[in-house]
Amino acid sequence: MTTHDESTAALEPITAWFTRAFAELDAMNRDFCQLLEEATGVDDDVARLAKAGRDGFTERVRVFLREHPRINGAGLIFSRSARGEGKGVTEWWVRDGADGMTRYQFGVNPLGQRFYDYEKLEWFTVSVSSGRPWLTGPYIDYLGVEEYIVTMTVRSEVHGRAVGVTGCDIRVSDLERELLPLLRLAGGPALLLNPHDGVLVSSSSRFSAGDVVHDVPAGFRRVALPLANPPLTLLVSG
Amino acid sequence: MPTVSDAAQGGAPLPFAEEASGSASGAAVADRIASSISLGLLSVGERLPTEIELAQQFGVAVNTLRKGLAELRDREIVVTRRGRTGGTFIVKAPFPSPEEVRERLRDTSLVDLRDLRDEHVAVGSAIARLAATRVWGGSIVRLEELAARVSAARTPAEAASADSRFHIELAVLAQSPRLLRSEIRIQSEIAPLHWTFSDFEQTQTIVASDHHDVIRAVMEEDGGRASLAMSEHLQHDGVRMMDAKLSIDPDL
Repeated sequence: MTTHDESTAALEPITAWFTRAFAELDAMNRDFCQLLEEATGVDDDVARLAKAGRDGFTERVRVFLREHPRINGAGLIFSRSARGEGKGVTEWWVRDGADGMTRYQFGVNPLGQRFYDYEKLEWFTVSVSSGRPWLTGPYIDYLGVEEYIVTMTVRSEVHGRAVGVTGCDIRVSDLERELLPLLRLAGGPALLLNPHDGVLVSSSSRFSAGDVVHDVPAGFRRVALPLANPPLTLLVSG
Repeated sequence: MPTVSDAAQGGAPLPFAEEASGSASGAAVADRIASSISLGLLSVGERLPTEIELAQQFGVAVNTLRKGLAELRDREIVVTRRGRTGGTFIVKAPFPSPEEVRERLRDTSLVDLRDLRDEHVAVGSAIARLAATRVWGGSIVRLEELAARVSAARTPAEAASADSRFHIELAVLAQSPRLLRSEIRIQSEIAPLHWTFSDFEQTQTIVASDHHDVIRAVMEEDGGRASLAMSEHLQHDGVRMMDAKLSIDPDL
């Protein structure tokens, strides 16, 4: 365990930000799963689950988006390949106007040119296959919500099986608004990196969101956030 | 040239709106909008005016207009996005017929084709450079799958669509929303021009080999080489496009 003195003043607040974000995402996920357990049976397929959950999800997501004004969208994306259950099933809402939200429809037809092949994307695969809370991005969600975003996900389990992921999106520009003030507590240039060493937020003009920084630049040192998952790191100067 | 944004802002009628008036059906409205896109009067990436404004311009009931838009959505020519940046957007130009491509090549001067290529080289090589410095995870696998679709295509239209998708995916990996929008717009214009009249199998071979060079450089995170490989690839596209014009127009 890294002690406070060896690290940086930015470590604690940034760790607290992610701890809270994942705790609240997890709380929404538990509510979703409980709702599905009560409304469905063990043999129901994901299309049936989605239908049974929709009204309850809508109200729960409304609360989540109200409590987190910088989150762009949230919901539960089901695994269609679980038991080979046909085309994609997505229950997702995005912010719309001042305090409205609207359900988002993705291209779920595998034969369409605008098919959103989400089961191959990192935000879906990692959490659903490993059960690890995960952070994906920054990435342009082409054919999805078509924004430059970061997605946080946790696995959703119903009747003892993984049915998909519960997640939320934040635009990269909004993540910067949240985290740059915390990063600047480091007192000098600092970067927050995703699990692939890609920059999430940077307080140095030498590095920008999206750049991959494999090697620790001269004058910087690496400080891991004390979270089991997702593995995030800070690069701080000095 | 009128664009949708001008029409939306200034209240000017949409191109072809008048011809669809009277007892026009949803299908007729869809056809008018589709031909405006084919003719380049509306561009990929543009947002259509609101349903009410459109219905007024076409002189049809909002319900009829909605049927027209639904048909365009089914044909994957427009998408309606929700949220803060929502609206109905043109996402694809209907693939032009050989006769339409011939006409476009005839009407466009060589120097204008050269300029289109120049813009594509600038945007494309910047995208390749950025993709090489920002690529992560398994995203290269996806790029390879898309490159393989160009080789598997059976018609120029299929190959052109797969080719465009490859370039768009690279722009996604470059993580610049602005460059992505530019690439999508340029692809809709340029892909039919260099695929339609060239030797199909030879073009497939050259494009596959060029894409392979770009993928290798991106995979090795070599931005300089990726940029150079893309620049050479797009020069090849430009040569095919200009050769197509010269071959269909022997009187020049």
